[in-house]
Amino acid sequence: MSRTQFRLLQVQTMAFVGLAYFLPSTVSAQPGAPVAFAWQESIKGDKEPEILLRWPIAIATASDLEFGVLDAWKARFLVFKDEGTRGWKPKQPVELPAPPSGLAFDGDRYLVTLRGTGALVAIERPELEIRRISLPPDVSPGAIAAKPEVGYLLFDSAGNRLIRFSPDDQNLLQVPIDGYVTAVAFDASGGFLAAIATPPEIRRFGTNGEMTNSWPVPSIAAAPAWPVGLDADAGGDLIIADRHTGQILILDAGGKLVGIGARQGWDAGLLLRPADISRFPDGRIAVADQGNGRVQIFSQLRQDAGP
Amino acid sequence: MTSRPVFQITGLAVLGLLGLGPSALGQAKIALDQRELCLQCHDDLADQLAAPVKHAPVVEGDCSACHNPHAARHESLLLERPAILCASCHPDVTRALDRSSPHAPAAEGKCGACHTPHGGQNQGLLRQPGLEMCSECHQQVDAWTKRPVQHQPFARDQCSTCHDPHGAEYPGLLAKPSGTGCFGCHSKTDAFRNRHSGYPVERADCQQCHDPHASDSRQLLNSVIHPPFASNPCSSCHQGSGADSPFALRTTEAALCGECHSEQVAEARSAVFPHVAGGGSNCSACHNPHTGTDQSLLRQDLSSTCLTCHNPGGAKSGEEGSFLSHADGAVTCETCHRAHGGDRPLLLVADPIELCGECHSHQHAVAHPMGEEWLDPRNDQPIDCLSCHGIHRAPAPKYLHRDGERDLCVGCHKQKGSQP
Repeated sequence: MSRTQFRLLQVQTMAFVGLAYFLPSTVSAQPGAPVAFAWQESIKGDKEPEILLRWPIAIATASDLEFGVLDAWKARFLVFKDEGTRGWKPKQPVELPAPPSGLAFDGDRYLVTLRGTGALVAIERPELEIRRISLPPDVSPGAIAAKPEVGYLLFDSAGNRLIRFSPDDQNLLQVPIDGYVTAVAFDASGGFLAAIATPPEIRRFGTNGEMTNSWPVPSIAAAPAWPVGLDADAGGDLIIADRHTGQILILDAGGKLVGIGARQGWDAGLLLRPADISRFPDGRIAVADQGNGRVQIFSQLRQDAGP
Repeated sequence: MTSRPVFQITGLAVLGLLGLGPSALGQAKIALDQRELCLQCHDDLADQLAAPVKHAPVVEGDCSACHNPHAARHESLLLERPAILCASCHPDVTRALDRSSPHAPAAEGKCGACHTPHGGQNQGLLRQPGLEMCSECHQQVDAWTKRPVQHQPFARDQCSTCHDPHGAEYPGLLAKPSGTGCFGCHSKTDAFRNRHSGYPVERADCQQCHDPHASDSRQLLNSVIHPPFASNPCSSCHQGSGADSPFALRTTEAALCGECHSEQVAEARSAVFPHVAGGGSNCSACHNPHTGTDQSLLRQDLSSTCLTCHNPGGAKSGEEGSFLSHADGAVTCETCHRAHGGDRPLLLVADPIELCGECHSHQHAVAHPMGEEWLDPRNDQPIDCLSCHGIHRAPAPKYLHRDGERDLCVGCHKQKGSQP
């Protein structure tokens, strides 16, 4: 059996198992939900030599075969690569000069915001060298998102604003924003989105920074949602990680809930205080499962919505 | 006289034999005085029935309006649970409970916590006169009554001037939002404006500075005044009173607060795990920059401040207060969590094993193996107290995630002998 055939069989099997496992608690709770999730794998790292995740706080996918993750344990950045039958393997960690906050990938490099120092650094591939990017004075950068050829966007918690940069690090736009921004993302049209923790909502902004819409983030549990990770796909669907309930939510472009996956727990496929979420180009979802000290990958199962 | 009860009881027995239920008794209007009949045994109710304020069914002698004389599923032979029974005649209470901020006893159907059902000395059948009634749960009322300057409605026991006791749309059971409600009595005159340096404070929250119950100051100011607010003009922090956005700050909160509280701002900004998203920039989410009731200038007491965001589901969820249930309130949020950010997940002040062991020293000594050497097979993380305990809320006793007799253990020890 070739590697491709093996992987296809593996994915199909996991998809079936995932559907059987998750559907009773997801689709039945939201009749007609067209998206479900299938757990694929949990990634912890290697025991020999010991490179194990402990407190992953942010994640960014670079390709279908690579993602970066920030680990608040010892302030480090790690790249994981899919080595086929050997699975996901971590590269040598990059020690960061300060506790990290947010992570994004802009097509060429990883961008990391650092706490306390008000710094933004680029980690250039392939050698993973750190280069500091200058920011306007008094910026305290937090959540960050990037999009190839569009640039990057970060939340300045000191100035309560979103700042947008071009791919060559030029400051393009500043947008004042009320509330605690826990995650940002670009949408397919070049506009952007921000997740607010309390009250839990998503705000959409046009390319000029004007807010065009906002939606509450629903919760099917007693606890209100606490969105911490946000990503958007080409079709406009929003993927959100809910820290309070340990769930992955999908809202369509109009803010309607169209999918719920995972739930709170410790076992493989369950999430405990997820901290961030990122979408692979092929549609799979990587979650920084902070409470469980691992990254988990889920595939999306699009269902026929029917007549 | 002795023959009358015998006659009545015989009459009831006959009706009962004929299969007539309590409603049929009511319809029949039998020539019996229900009130007198009930009092034959329940003579302890005589005082209530003779009280100046009586419940309407009592006045009519209609005990069976609320009670089934034979048998019932509910305590005191009530026809229904108190919440449903009372609401059948008092629909206004049901409407009040649908509002965003219901009073906890009313929401829980504990009508009897405040009201006496038969008769009493107080309007509204309250068990105690206004302030005394409220002070049974709201201990701060006693402190307010000792202060020299009291707001008139408070001094006159007129709590309902500002509060709706069953439920309201605004926090604190306020019938109108703070500010709007105040101008039902207070006028926006030039003198009022001048006293507030020309700022349009009618658009603001009066309770930022004033205590609506009682104070030591003539202006009913809160007891602790932030020094910059006491000594500097408003315009030292805010735009001028004539500006388009007069309350807008001249600079960011981080810069303003950091002038004096640089240590806290730095802690919030540099913490590995910040409080919320950034830290150091939204001080006023928790702190009142003008006045307060203690030196921390928190907007409410500590736990209420935390629950503003960290309340699972709110008052209507049935889980109200569950985040405060640990140690029955003997510990505060800050016993375990760092408010401005910390170097551990959940902003814990220390490693969970060490932290829990400070109070639970016995359990610490005899517990399941924990620490870096012992990995949880579910996620390969070091086992600590949180591996088994939910701390704030959990479905099983002792805050366990699952039943501690079996389910909890087999979550990890799936195959007998495969785990130590």
